[in-house]
Amino acid sequence: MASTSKNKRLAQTLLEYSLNEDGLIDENKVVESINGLKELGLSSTKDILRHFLTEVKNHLRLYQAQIEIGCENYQEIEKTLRTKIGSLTGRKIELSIKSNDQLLAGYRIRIGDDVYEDSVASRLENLKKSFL
Amino acid sequence: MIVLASLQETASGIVEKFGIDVPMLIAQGINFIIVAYVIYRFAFKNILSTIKEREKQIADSLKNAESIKLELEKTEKQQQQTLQEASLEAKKTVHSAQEQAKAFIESQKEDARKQAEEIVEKAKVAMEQERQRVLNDAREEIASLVILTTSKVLQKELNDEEKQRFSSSAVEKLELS
Repeated sequence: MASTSKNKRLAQTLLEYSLNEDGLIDENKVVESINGLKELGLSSTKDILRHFLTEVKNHLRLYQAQIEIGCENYQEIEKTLRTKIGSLTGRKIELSIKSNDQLLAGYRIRIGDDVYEDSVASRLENLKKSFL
Repeated sequence: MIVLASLQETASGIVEKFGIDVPMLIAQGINFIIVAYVIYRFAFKNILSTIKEREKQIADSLKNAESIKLELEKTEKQQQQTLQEASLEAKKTVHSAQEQAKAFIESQKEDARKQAEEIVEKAKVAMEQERQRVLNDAREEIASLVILTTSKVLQKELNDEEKQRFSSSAVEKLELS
């Protein structure tokens, strides 16, 4: 148990080392970290790498936003979203935007484990819940 | 003296008149005494003793009979009393049994009434739950249908410009909390 938490701390240290000035993951630094770890030849290398991979994935998810918009023509909205999300989170977030007819109108944003939604579909769903 | 002489004369007159032989009379008297003694000594005494014994036996028997009679009366009284007591006890037992039977029947009735009430109550609860379930199902069904219909209508009726306007307005109000 103590060994696992020590490995987690090591993985977190490696992640911090792998970030650039903007707080984003630097691919080169990640490779350097992994190579350095391999050279050390620790018995727990595999476990540390596993934790490091999890940390990297979690970090990437926090810097990525999957956005669904309820209309076809969303270029203007995308600009507004970039500005708004950047200012609200305080970090540079990579946006992945696509149209979704099921929303009818509005948006659904997923950052990490958090989901933010304001769409006609969600309002109708809330309306349905209020009936029950 | 004259009187004595007179008496002597009278007595000799009687003896002569009846032909009594004095020596014979005396001899007969002695014989009588001897026979009487012999009879008394060897027969009469035994007979008296037997009679006394028989009298004693009869007295004892009478006494025993009296005692038996008293004992019998006592026994009859005891028997009567025992019978009365037994009758009373039997009456008490019957009364007690009747009371117990009555109490048992009442208890059974009460249990049956409670069970019936419980069954009715459970049935009511089950009916209410079923009613609520049906009502909830109906509500859910109706709400789903309303929402589905509304969605389809909106899907058809809203043009892209309207969708864009709504989306833009929603994004303007975006807050990440």
